[in-house]
Amino acid sequence: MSVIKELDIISITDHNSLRQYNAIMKVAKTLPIKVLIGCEVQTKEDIHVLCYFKSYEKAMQFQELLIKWHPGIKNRKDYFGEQYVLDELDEVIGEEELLLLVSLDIGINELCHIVHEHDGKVVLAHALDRGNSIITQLGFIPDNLEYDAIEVKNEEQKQRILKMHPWIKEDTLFFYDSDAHHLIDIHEAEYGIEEEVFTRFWG
Amino acid sequence: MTVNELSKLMGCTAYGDDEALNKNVDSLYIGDLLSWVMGHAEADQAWLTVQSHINIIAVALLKEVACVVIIEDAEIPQETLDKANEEHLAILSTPLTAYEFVTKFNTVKA
Repeated sequence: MSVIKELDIISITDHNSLRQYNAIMKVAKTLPIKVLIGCEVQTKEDIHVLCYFKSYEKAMQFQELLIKWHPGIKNRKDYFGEQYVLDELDEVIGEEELLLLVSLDIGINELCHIVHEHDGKVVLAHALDRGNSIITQLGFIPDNLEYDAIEVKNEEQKQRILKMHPWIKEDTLFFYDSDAHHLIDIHEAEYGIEEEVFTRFWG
Repeated sequence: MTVNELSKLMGCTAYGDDEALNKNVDSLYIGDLLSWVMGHAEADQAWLTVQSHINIIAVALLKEVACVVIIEDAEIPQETLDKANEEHLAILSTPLTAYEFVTKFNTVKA
């Protein structure tokens, strides 16, 4: 769907898991699109944080930590549904037994540090949303937090965040992501960023 | 009562200097969602929460609460304690849940 919509770069950020990336990277190689390896971590403070990784190896090391920080609560399929691991042909090759929608035992400050140690980048997810955003959970974005960008829905949200936080610099990177949970929600290619801006983020 | 009296009454571990521990406590407030607490906590309340991120200090100062009570032995980062100390804000730590804390408080305060 993203290729049909002529998107250049996407990321598929499962909740607290990078296990789909073996299949995703195989599919991505066959298509004219760049895929960033990423996941959405839910911190101890119930904040959603997007974590992106440059290398598959580092991402898989980080996956080990995701399991280590998990409280061990198992999925209840009758209520939460299946958590299948698929291959590149959409065949079921495994199942995640741990419930993925929980908060992990890692605070946001420490998470930022560890993602950077894994050569990764940190984006504050849906920063102004009413659920599980840094602003609902912590009241505001702390000025010493080591994040790399802030995800918002549109320009109006960006301006609201800048107004609320005099300490956030004008040149802070803001991403306008669709946060699509269904195919139909994927944006058209209307929120482009310049290559220079992307390079500033990704290095 | 003062923060110090509350702490002794409830058997908490207290972190804070004299200024912090001598603040007046009028009532209790419970909340973990900081955006909500910012809108609803009131001055001179002892604020009970499991949230120990450093941002609690800013929220506590903004609302002029008497102290922050970290319940259920939730881990408190050193930077939160340092910031509280710097701002003369007392942090109390208790193994009790919010429910147990309030129940005990209502029993023993009289």
